[in-house]
Amino acid sequence: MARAITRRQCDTPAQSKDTAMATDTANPLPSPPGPAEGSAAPHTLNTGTALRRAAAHGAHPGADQPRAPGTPDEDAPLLTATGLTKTYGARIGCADVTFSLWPGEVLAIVGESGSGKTTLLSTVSGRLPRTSGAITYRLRDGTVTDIDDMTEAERRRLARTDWGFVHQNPADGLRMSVSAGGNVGERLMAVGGRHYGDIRATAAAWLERVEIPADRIDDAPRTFSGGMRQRLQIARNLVTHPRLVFLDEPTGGLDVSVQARVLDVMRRLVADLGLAAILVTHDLAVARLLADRMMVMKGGRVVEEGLTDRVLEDPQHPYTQLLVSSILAV
Amino acid sequence: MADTILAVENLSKAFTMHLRGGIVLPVLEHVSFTVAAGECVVLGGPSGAGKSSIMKIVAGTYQARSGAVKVRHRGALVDTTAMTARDFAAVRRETIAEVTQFLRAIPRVSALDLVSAAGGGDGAREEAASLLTRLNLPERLWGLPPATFSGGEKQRVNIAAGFIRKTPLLLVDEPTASLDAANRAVVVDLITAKKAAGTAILGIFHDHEVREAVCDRVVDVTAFSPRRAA
Repeated sequence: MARAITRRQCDTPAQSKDTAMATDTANPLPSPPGPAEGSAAPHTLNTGTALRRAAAHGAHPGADQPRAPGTPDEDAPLLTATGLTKTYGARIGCADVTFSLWPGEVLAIVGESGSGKTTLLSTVSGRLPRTSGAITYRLRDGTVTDIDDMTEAERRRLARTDWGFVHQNPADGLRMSVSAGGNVGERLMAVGGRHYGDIRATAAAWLERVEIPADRIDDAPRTFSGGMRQRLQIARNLVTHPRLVFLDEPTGGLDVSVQARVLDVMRRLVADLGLAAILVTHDLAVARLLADRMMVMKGGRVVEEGLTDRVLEDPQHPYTQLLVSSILAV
Repeated sequence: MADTILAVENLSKAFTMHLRGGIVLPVLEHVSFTVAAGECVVLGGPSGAGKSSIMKIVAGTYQARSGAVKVRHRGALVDTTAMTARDFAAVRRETIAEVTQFLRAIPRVSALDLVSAAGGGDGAREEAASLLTRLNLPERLWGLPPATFSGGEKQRVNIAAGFIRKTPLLLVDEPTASLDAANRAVVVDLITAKKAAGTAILGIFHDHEVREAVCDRVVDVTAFSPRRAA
């Protein structure tokens, strides 16, 4: 599939970004695989500006760039998905999903198991190849690029520097036998950090931010409780100051008493760092606490969307009404 | 009118209950009224007349079925029923403050932090402290999350979180329901000060004394009842 996309890029060397995007939307060619973690990047083809742009970002991950709220960029979406579809053979994962996400905004995707919310998250984050549709992302320099126009290596770099991905199971996002400090420091080294003392100091500061005691910095997450592991995974993801974080049921496997702390850490960090986030959860209370906007999915399709409190207090679609009415009050 | 902050025009609201065979429950029809800067308009009528529904539609928590809700946002009247969720979020952030009947406590966030965060910006902490002092919330409670507070204490935190904001429009739904006379008087003072500062206020007050003290005009919500019209 990577070959298919390469060929298409060769066929259209002179296309402007706009026409390239228009072509993407209409083009039934299969999409390339996402930046699967751990897999080698076999690409050799330089796609020109996109690569140079990403290379510049790789050298300067922007971790220290101050955010400038209120700049004109705030009005442009960070990420836009158009007609996003993922099928598994004849079965629909998600179908014709269109949405935009703006800087600093938290979008919740809710629905029951099998509604397609995790498929959508995986597809948007490039972990699963999409069947059709387009995803555009605005890079730190303001250029908007179609994820399809990037090479595998560029997407991997993006995933490492500008994006974070918090898995439901911390073991999927952490290296369980590496120390807590190492788990956080590894991300820093991946974006060019070299000075051991600095990396360790930054890691220690981040452990404090996620409320992990300083004296656990050399312990492996194997020895941590579930809540601590999840908070460590959050630190590992945020240490490079990503602009966009994907959260997949981040409190799903935790006891309620432990959830509160993880949620509070997330809520504060998202607000303090001005992060944009896409949050997949089946827990409507979690969505209410963290999200500005909400999309409700059923059978792979978005059946309702809107401001979080509006969707929860005045649900319009039969399925949303069922979902909301099924919450147990305490 | 140039100083109109809120204009509700021919608004209607009905709930479609899909889980109960799709029955439609009409709640409001032909709701029209305006609130000007510095004015306190009170929604009047018995329980169930739809007062809170109007408040929630203006706040964006309920969706209007038809009609317009225009709010002066960044100087221009904009129809919130015709905008995207993201745009409405910006209107809420900058233009609409709300004191609801019930506090939504956030786990682990203290009363003082909650009010300060609502205020935002420099000096919010001092202002939050001064509001909580005025509302007679004991200082030993400031550092605690309000989840375990009494009804009256929660309500005062909620009032402080609403009144610390400096938006052109303030919505207050029964702010004094569980307050004693001294604290009701504080709320009256706070509302009077907001009016003097030019804030447009839309309120629901069951307490007659409070209503008499702050109200410029009553909008009778029973006039918008679909059942009456039928």
